[in-house]
Amino acid sequence: MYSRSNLKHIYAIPLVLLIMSVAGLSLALLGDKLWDKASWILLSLTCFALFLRPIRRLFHK
Amino acid sequence: MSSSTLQQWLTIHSWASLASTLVLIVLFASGLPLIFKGELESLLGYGTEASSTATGDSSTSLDELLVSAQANFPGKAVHYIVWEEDTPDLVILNIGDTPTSHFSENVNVVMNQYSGELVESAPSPLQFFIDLHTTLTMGPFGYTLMGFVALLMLVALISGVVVYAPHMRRLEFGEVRSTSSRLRWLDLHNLIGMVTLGWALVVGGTGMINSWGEYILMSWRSGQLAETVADYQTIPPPSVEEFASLNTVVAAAQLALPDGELYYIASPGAFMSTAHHYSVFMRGNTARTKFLLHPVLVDARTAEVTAAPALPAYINALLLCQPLHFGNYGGMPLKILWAVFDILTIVLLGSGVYLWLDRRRPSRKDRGINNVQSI
Repeated sequence: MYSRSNLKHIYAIPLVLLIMSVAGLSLALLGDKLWDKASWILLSLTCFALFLRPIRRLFHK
Repeated sequence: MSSSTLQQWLTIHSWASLASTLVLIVLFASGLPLIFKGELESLLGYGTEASSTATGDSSTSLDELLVSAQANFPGKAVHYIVWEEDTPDLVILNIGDTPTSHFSENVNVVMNQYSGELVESAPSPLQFFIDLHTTLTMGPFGYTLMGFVALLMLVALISGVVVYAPHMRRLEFGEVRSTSSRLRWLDLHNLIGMVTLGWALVVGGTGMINSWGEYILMSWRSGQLAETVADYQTIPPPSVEEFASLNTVVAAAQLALPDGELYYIASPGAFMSTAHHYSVFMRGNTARTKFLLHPVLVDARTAEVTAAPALPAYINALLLCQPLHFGNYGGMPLKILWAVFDILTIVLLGSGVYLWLDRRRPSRKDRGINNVQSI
């Protein structure tokens, strides 16, 4: 039903988001300061993916 | 994947979600204020008098603190004495009707450890949200139920990832079609689902493990703890009058683990201890180790250290599940992000209900065709 390239196309960004959020959640456990900041950045970027499409459309216009 | 397999996944996704949605909405809504529990409690004045009444270098002895607690709660038993990292002036005493009463029936009181004064005997102003979030106010059975709801949530998330593919065959990630309200919400549901997937898997997974934490701890009690104190089986447990000074108990534990930081003491008979011992739980003093605990079992009669066994890996995993569920380990920005993910998950659940309710309603276009045909 789905070719490998199709699945890659569908799941590539979700997989990156999954890795980013799990890494973001784990990093703050490893230490303070720099680790916390890395965690905030990764989790913020994950949330930012909600606006990926509207932003991309804005640039294409 | 064949279309019948896909249909099976869709059925799993629908029913796992529907069976748990109402409870999950309550859980995520009640969890929202709990993310900022400390901040809200101090904003509402809970325990703030404590910090101002007395602070200083010399703390009241733990024995005096116990005497003060017993004077305030005659006939009750102190199960745990807890030191929280962010309120160093205060100690939380967990008190039950009997030395072996179930922890869900116990109450927490806050005392100033410098003056020995009782600061708060009332429950937290957020207690309703805590009960709702942990047990749906159903008592010990609620913990087990919450675990099943979290399991259903994990099934819904995983099946959601599988059924995501057919919807996205001809769409770019994040595309939200506006041709109909149903399509708009379907695309938003898929988008929010993928953005919150990692967070929801972690929060759902750790929530499930936390809910069933009592069973995991029971297994530790009947395993490692029972083996460590096997020699005491034939000795009758000490009475309260025979208990050694708590100050001596803590000093002995600190000598046994000088690098540890005192976190809490479990009294003899409490769930996390034995009938013969005080269990003094020490935590690590670095960011990496502060969530991991190390118990020191101190003979309640003699105040001699019986053992200081390192906790097994499964208990350490359980301990790490707590910060990963509560989001209280990375400062205020992490709490805000936690709240954003929480709200997004509520929208995800709400949109799922809308899509299910709307599933058989014909679209406006179809209705138009039907009207024309009927004419």
